[in-house]
Amino acid sequence: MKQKKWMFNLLAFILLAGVVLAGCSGEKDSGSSSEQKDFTIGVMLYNYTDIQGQQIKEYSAYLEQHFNVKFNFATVGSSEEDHISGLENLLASGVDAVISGYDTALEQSVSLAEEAGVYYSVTLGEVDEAITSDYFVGGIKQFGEDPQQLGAKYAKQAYAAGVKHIGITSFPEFAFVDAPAIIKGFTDEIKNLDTAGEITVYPTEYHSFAPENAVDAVTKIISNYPEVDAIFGLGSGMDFVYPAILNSTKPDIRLLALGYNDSVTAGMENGSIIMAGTNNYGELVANSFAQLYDRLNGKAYSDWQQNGYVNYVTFTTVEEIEDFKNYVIPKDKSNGAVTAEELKQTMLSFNDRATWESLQKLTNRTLAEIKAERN
Amino acid sequence: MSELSIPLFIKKNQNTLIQYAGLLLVLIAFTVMTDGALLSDFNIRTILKQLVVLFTISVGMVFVFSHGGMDISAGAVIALSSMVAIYTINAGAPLAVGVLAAIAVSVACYMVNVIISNLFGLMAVISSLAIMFVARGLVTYQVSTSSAKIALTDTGVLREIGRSMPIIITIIVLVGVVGYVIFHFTKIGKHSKAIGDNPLAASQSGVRVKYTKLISYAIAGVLVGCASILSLSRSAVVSENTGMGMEMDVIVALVLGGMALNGGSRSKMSSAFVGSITYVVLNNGLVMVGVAPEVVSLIRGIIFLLVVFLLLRRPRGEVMPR
Repeated sequence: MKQKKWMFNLLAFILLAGVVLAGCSGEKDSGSSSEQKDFTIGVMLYNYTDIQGQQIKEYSAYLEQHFNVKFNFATVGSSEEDHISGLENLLASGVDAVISGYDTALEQSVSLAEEAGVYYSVTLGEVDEAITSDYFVGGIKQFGEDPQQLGAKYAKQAYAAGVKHIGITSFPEFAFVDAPAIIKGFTDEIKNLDTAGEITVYPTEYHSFAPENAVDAVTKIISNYPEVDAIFGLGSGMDFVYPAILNSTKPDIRLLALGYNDSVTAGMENGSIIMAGTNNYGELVANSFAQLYDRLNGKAYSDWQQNGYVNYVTFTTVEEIEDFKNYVIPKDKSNGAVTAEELKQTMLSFNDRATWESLQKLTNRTLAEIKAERN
Repeated sequence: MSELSIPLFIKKNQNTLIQYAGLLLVLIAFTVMTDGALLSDFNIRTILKQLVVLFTISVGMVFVFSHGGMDISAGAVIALSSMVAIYTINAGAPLAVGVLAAIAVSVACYMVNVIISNLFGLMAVISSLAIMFVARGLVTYQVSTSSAKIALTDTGVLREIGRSMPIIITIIVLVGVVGYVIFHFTKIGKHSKAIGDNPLAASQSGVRVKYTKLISYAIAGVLVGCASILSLSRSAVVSENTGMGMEMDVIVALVLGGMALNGGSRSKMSSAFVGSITYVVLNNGLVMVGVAPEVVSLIRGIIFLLVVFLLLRRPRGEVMPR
């Protein structure tokens, strides 16, 4: 009897929770539909819980306030089947355009979008220029126009910090296509700067996509090169490589990271982090959105190119991290990386003289340039 | 008499009713929430395209799960089979040869799986874990050492298979009917259920336990191989992520369809059909409605928990002693 009662209570709780949740989502929907937006843009990302996903959502919400657009967010898995299913579901929901985070199953995705008469863009990476369609607005180089320059920037900082024995860790090339260019830029610049031949850069240790894989890579570097005093971590530098170093037998190794999280400030204050960096989420979404919105209004840049580019934000001081928080990811996006008014100036829908190049220039501004613009 | 028979019928078919009620509930709820867009021509085609892959694998897995087996290698085997199919077709072989190559690889994986399990008395889930690592490892190695993307150079015919409604519907019907007949009207299905209920009793009753498992895995292998071609017809490319998570999708779909994961006499082929549709419609509907992504997993989890909870309330008399 007791068991029956317990089971009944559990069932009632589950049903109640379901009804409450359904009610919450229903309220949200009815609120947004009453705004009568003209265009709906679907967004496909792996998650909206990390800083990248959160910021992309927040910036999209900001765009909703300033353009006649509504965003429909879908979480997709990393497999091709998941990606295509996610895209199909968005197309079936009636979106007018899609911002995909990734170039997964690109040819088939573009083909599906084309068949549905929906514009498609990739926002977190460069795309294969052989894939073309009237409905494909291209991709974005997230490490700036030339990834080698980003590598060189890290090299200059490593040289200035005085480190002499540098290991490199990275995700495999097939998954991180910009890695070879960034590494080349780094090693070339070290050679240029190190005229005395005092600095050694060791061969790259590639690792897979779990934290323990990064631990293995760091351990291998320390075992092979016990004198190592810095690591350039390209594969989730802050989330994977930094904890791996701190938990290793040489926690005093200094880090140059492609990556950002809340530990960066403390790491820079105690000197364990020389440099870190992250995507400029606002610039990425702004670049894709501007092009899609123009296409939806029947306008296309005469100087359009398939791959645009945005600046990759880097920090070398605590002050720069504060600037990043204030000028790239502020709560109030009208003080952020790209404001709606700035964006409209580079969009043909609002400015007949706008060019694709002017959009790239706007979305390739450095942290210092954005800060100067806001002050 | 008839008054008495209705409650009796409900009690007797409780699990079946729950599985169909779940599907009906999902369909009605999302049809209302999408103002009927769920049942639009475009979306029905979308659902069918997504259904064909999951359903094909699920039918195969019913044979494995019904005798108490468990497989978590389906996603990795799909990736490996698809990769072999791409290399075969790109080398100039006809599509049929590519399909056969994919099926051969898949069947081989499942044969190794069941032989390891049978020979060493390993739990099926452990041997399938090993197959998953090996298959995923082979694909990852090949993708990481390949200078170009592993993709079909000519997507023409396969693309048609993945997008042609008559072909997709034919495949769903064919797989469903053949699967149903084999499972419910031949020794393989009946023996599988008997093993799922009580392997010792089944063995003492003359059921060839190891042989039945072997055939069940072979059937699963054929269907996973076919599913790899259907998946390839949708993406035309293989990466280290191909098929990732598919094994979990199948398990969730089967549970939603009322399949008892420890198998036995209550196993039904309809679980594959009902579960696959419920799962696909659920995912499709949540995006169609525009549910915030933060709560999508939670809603899925609640529905899953609800179904499991209802199915767990199986009358004691229905469970055979082991």
